[in-house]
Formats: sequence, structure tokens, C-alpha cells
Amino acid sequence: MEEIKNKVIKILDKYIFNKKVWDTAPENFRVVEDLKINSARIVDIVIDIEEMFDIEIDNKMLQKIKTIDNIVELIKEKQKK
Amino acid sequence: MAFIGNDIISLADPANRQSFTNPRFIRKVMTKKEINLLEKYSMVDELPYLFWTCKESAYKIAIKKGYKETFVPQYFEANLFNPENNSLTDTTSGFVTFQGETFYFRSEIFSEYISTIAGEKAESLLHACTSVNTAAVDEQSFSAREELRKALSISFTTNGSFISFLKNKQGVPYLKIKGNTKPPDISFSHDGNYFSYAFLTEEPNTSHAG
Repeated sequence: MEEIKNKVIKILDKYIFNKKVWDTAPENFRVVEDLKINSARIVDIVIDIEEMFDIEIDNKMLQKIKTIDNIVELIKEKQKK
Repeated sequence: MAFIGNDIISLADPANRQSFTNPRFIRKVMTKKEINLLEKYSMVDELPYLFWTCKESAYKIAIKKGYKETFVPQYFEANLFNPENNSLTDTTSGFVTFQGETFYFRSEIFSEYISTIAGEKAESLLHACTSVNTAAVDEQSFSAREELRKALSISFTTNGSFISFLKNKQGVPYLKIKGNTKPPDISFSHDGNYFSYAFLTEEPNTSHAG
């Protein structure tokens, strides 16, 4: 679980303009609001996650992604299948 | 209240260039119909960016109307009123469909950026006032609010200090004007060095703010 989270955080960090957002981000941070990542970069992040974990994230899953925990849970679920 | 949504995208931003020329990115965000148009008008480089701003603008309206999910670009389909033209004019208009609803948009296309505003009705856009400017990233939020304050104080003949910018639980900005029970809807956007704001005027707007 922690390993997945760390990998995702590494991906997210690539797209963060102001790294100071990490100082105030809560444990279960929201990707758009807390990290100030714009929507186009969210799509880039989804593509990076798909490549790193060899999964496919469809629209139904994408619409539920708000927090880091949502992403980690999603990856875990997809890896089970 | 009539809702609006706006979006700006920097065409010079390297990250945007990389994303919008990536076929995988395009397949993720565009509908089949949009992809067909992109193929048909492949010489129009700005088209995927234009579609994106239309989708984002419409999403902002959907959120104001109670939609709570994360932005899924493919759920919003952009349609141009004049798709037979093989080049985009400086101002392009059309509509976006989303879950049975239709939102209308007007976009201004420049070599450096595309700015789009969308409304629930085509007539709403006659009342739409938008402005685009540049500032350092960490100053954009303040600059946008102060510029909008000035524009609103002129448009609504009120003192700038009577205008307050607030955000709801979802982070959606809204306006309070002292003594005005029906303040207009507002929308902000920024990308790269650009920031923009939009609001609806009481009377039809015949010229743009900037």
C-alpha cells in the first residue's frame, strides 16, 4: 500500500509547479485542490499511472478520483483483477 | 441565477504542447466525434486546445449546477457552429453537450492563447464580459480579483469595497455586492502566465473588457 502511494506521489511531484504545496498537504490530500494541479496535467498523471502500474483507468474510475487514497485504492483494485 | 464558466489555455506552454500532441492524451480526452473533426481539420493546430477550453468551461457550469464528480473530459462533447471552415477564425462559437444538457460557448483564438466562455443559453454570452491578462503565477489570483473588482464596480456602478469574492465548499468562486441581491455569476481561469476572469453584465455587452 505504502509502496503504491510513494510511486504515485513521485508521479504527482513531476507535475507540481510550486513544491511548497507538500508542506501544507494533508495526509489524504486532494489532487486538484491541495496540490494545485490543473486538469490537463491530471490526464497526464492518469496516463503515467496507467503506464507505471500496467492498468487502464476508464472514465467511470476517473470521475471518482479526488484524493491520493482514491488513487491508491483504484490501483490496488485493478491489480487484483 | 444564470451560470457561466470560462477557461484559458496557453498555447506557448511546453507542458500543454507535449500533452496536446500526444495521441494517447487526445484519445483519453476527446470523443469519437471530436477525434473525427481533429482528423478532418488536422491542419488546424489549435483545435484540440479549443475543444479542451470548451469542455473545461462547460464543466465549471455543471459544477455550479450541482455536479459533484471529477472532470472527465470525454463526458463533455464540443461542437462548432461552423465546422466546415478549415481554419478557425479569431472568434469561434459552438456548444458543448453533457448528460443531455447543452452549454453554449464563444472562444477567442490568438497565437499565444485561447480564451473561452460558456453559458447556459446562447443569449447569456451577449451579457458575458471577459478579460485576459498576464502576471507571475503567484500573483495571478490577486490580480484577477482586483481587475474583476474594477470591472464590476464600473459595470454595476458600485464602490469596489462593496464587492467580496467568496468560495463555496467545492472551491467554486462567487460574488457578493453590498446592496445587490442578485450579483452576477463569475468565473476565473489561469494557465501559464495568463489569467482571465468572466462575469455577466446586466445589459448586453457589445464590447469585450480586454
